[in-house]
Amino acid sequence: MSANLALILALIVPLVGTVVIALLGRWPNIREAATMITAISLFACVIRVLIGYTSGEAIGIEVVTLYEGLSISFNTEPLSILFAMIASGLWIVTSVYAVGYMRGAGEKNQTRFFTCFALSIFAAMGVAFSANLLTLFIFYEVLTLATFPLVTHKGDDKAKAGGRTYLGILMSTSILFLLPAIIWVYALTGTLDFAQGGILAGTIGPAASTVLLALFLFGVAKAAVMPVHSWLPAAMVAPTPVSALLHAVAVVKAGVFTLIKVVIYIFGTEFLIDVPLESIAVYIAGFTIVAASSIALMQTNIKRLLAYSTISQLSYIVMATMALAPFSEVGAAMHIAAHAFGKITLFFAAGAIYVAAKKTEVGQLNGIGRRMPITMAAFAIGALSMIGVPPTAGFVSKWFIIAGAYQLENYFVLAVMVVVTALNAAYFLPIIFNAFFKPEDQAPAKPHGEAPWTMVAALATTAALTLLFFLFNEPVLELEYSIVGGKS
Amino acid sequence: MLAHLPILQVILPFLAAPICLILRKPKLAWLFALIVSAAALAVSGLLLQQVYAGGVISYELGGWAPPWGIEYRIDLLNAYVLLVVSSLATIVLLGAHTSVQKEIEAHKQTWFYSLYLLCFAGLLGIVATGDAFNVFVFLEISSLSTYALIALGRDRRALWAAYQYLIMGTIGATFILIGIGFLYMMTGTLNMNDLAMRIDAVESTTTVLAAFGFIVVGTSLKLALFPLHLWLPNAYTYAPSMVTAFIAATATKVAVYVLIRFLFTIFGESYSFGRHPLAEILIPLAIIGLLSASTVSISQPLIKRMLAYSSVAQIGYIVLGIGMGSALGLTASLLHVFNHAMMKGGLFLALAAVTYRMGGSEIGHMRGLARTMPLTFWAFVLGGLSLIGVPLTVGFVSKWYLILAAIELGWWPIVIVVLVGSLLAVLYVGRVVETGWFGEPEKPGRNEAPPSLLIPLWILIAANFYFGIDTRLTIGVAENAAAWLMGGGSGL
Amino acid sequence: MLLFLLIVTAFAIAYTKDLFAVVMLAGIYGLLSASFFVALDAVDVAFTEAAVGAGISPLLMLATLGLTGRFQTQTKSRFYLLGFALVVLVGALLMIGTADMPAFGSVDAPAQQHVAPRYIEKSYEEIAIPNVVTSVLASYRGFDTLGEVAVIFTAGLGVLSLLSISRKEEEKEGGVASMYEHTILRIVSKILIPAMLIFALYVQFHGEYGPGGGFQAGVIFAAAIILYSILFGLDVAKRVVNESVLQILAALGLLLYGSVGVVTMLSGKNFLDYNALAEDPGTGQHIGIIVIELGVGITVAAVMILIFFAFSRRMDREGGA
Repeated sequence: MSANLALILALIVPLVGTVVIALLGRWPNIREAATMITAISLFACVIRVLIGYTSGEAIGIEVVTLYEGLSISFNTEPLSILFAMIASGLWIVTSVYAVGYMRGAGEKNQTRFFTCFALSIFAAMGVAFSANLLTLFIFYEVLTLATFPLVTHKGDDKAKAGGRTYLGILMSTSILFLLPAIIWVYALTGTLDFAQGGILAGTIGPAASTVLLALFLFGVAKAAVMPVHSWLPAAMVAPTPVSALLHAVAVVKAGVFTLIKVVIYIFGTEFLIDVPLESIAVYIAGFTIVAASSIALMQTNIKRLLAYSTISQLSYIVMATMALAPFSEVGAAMHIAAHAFGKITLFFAAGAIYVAAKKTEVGQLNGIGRRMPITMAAFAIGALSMIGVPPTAGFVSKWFIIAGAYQLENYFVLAVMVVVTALNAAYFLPIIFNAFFKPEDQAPAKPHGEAPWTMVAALATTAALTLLFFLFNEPVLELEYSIVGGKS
Repeated sequence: MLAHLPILQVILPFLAAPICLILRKPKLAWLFALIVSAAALAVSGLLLQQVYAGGVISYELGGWAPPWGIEYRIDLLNAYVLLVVSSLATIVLLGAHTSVQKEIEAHKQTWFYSLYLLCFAGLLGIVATGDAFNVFVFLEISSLSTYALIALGRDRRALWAAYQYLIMGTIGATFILIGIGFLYMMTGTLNMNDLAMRIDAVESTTTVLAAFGFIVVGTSLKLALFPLHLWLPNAYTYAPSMVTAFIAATATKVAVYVLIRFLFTIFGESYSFGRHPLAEILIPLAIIGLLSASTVSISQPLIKRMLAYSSVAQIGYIVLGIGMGSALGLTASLLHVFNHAMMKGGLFLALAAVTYRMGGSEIGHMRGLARTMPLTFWAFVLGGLSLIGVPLTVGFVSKWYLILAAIELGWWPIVIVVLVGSLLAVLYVGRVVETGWFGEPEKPGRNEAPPSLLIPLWILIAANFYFGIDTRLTIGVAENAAAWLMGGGSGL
Repeated sequence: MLLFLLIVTAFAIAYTKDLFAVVMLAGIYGLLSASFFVALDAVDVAFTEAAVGAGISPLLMLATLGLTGRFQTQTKSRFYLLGFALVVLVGALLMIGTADMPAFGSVDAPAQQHVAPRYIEKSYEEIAIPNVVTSVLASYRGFDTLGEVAVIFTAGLGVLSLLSISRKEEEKEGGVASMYEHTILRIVSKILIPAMLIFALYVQFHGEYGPGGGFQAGVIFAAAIILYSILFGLDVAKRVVNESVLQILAALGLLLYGSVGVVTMLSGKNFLDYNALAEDPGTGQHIGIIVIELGVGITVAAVMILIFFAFSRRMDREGGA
């Protein structure tokens, strides 16, 4: 199978999967099997694309041309492959986890859940492999719409309110900021295709570039830069598998992915360096990092804490990208992977705690490490990754970000990284300590052990990945070097 | 017969109407009307083909050459509009029998079909003719039949709505007539082509100016440009569902056609936009109409009324394109004529289905629609996406062209206005979708609409997507027509 | 002088609250307009205006009054000033329009230069009838006339669909109080009505040679039947002219007109090209015109009577008279 075909399949497989899963509602076990098969096939396709790319095969498809310079097309480059691999790979793990969670928690409307999940992954693949801004925009919006039923899954008033905030912020930023930005790019250059070195050079002045950059920064609300970040905490009303894969991995990474693509392939780093006010973006991201972590410090609900932590970590990526140093760009790309592994572990753990012990608040976790050692160990690994301590994945990406800042003598970035490390430690370490070393406040009504084995297996896997990434990150590094090395 | 296509286009439904009156049974009348409509649709398709291949078609009625006699003149613009009108008429008619059974008293149903055909013939006659006074005559036919059709609605307020429309519509028609009269006074002819040639000589007279003013105001009334749109919300809301579906998709578009025909063919682009501040008047009114109507529709409890205000907004888009006075703007307007017909036709058919099963179309009737009537619900969602302007739908195509036209002229605020309009559309469509998805229905359990209503509904929704992806037909025709009109195309 | 009277009447109509008086004033307005047209040498138009504006319109409006009541209810309009301003604006625009208009009756006016002279010069040659108005109406611009007949048909259909009640309910009624007791009226009408009917027929067929034609004829015919109905009672009248037959006739008139066009099409010429109807074009035009005018007359008469019946029947139900 050629790499081109694999690319096409990478899009079709999840779409077909969506339909099949929807039809299999009456046979839950077969339905779950369908999800697994779809996930594994998808991952296989993405691997094939990776192999094809690294061996230099030409990959690209144009599906339909709507107008001059406007088409729906797909191709690949290092970032797309990275994002696609993470999303599809973690889908497999999440599906295993989700089965355990949905059955353990007795959730209703499971077919709708799994169907929308598959559709969301389809949208994520579309975002990953898009060859131009139009295609990316379409799939970006499909992602928002496909995840909406997942966010409002519970159907109660809180879910509806959360859903409204979610949809409201994402749609209005898309239509009022992102869309004008895209139209502006088209008006300037007559095309929307991503290209090495960017397409805007020579068409726009520095002042206007700043405005355009700002439009993108706030238009891509999925990257959760403040102040367009409030959809993320609002989305926590969703069941945890949703929060885990989508709001730790797929949706938010689609956001930062878009920003990185825009910076590298629409603006071009060379071009942006000459825009004096570009550093404002760095300051905004830096502010988000510190502010979000500070808010996280004050949270009592586990998932909300994790949500604000996510907002903070996402801005690591944004800040690193906007710093425009080669090392920090690589660090940003690495952090897409690192954060994904770490955060998904944390969310898995939170979900396991909910299913096994019905606990949702940080304060309730005293002594739970003894009842759920594997879960809390995984939690600890994830937390260490967030803080950025070896031997976890988070350390690797942080290393590069700091190296990049050092390269360009950007002391602001350095300062922010130091401060946020301290903050992360401040809110994660106590939880781990209390879980393992404090006695339980009161014995639970029904003594419990770990969560269902599927959930435990999943979180153990991702925790392991977090550790492995520390050790075996060469291939990813090579790949991402090529973005900043220039040629791909 | 091929040579007679232009007149057949109008005569088929025209003569079928009195025949419907003679047929006593409603079902028979419906079947007959459907066959005739389909024939008219075939004719319009053939006409478009002919015009595309061979240029302007001229047909002399009564065998008298123009300007002594009346001429039917089919060029790319009206062939296109004819296609829109006849396709919508036929598709809506597919579901009419079912819907009408529940909404109109039994003994009036035959008259319904007769009036429907008369309205259809009237609209076609306005579009196909090349004679200004003939436009007025068929305008009367279509208007009178529309008033009667609206008044057939179940709700008592339908009478008031029809009356309101009658008063305002008659004023509009009278203004148009006065304008035509003035033009005749100054040129001695009623033939459009002839008028176009003769107006140049008398351009600077105040009489022609007055004629211009009356005609623009008169047509603006009929096409519901803000602030002359006051008749529309009530008329659409209280008319029988199928009537709303048909006229929402066609009547205002035909009025747009009349405006374009007068502005570009008869008066000419340089007169209309060069001598007068037409752009400065049309564009602000279009924008205000667009924004205010979209905003008002968000809070409407009656969904039909919500869509009616949405129509006023969409007409704002169309007039915006015309007001820009550029080929690209005109293309956008022409595209939206086609696209809005598909969109609104589909959405109102969805409402017809809801009314049929649920007894009404208020927001309360839409609760839980996703579970009780999923096919209808999803059709509404997809139609809503087209209204918002999501890529891959026809709504996107026209909005895109409008944006391109604005960029070409460097008018960035207009781009923002169009985008804000889309955002507002998200709000009012989203409200209905949210209620349908989350709400608790009164009577749970599947109660889907009958196939006779679902089929025309899904035909239109599918068309929304098909023409949103394969835009060769619509863009091809619209661009050519616009270029020709801007060039002052006449008589060639 | 006539213009002044017209303006006075118009104001009076707008301000009077007694609707009966308004109807009478409207009739006077119609008559004044007709005289105006006679002064302008447009006798065909005058004839039609007299028949319709001063004849059948007030009649039908009186029938409506039976339903709605005699006096206009006082409505305080908030938009009075706005309405007034609009009227002034429109009037001003109209007057601006006339500023550059060619002098009244001027020979050089465009309207006299281009299309009209040709009608006048060629009409007898091409259509072979003396009345140029009829030749324009029925042949040169015959398609417009077809449209106008359709307008009348539509109006009739509209009234029917608004005012009609189902068959079953209709059978339950009794008759209307008639004016049978008025001996003088009864006797005079028995003489007049047949004369009116014959006059209508005369107007119908003489339209080619003098003022007249289908519209006027239809209206006069209808007036005769309506008079009969008022005097002798609705159900008696209905036995003479059956309602369903009337509906069919209304449709048939329009169809008759249209089918002339269809026949000409099938004979190889264009729609409504009467030359196709006979070897000699002049004869062809004659035939064409007679048939279409007949169609016009039938539909107009049928529709007018139907409208009157619709109003009167409603009146019975409401109990008023």
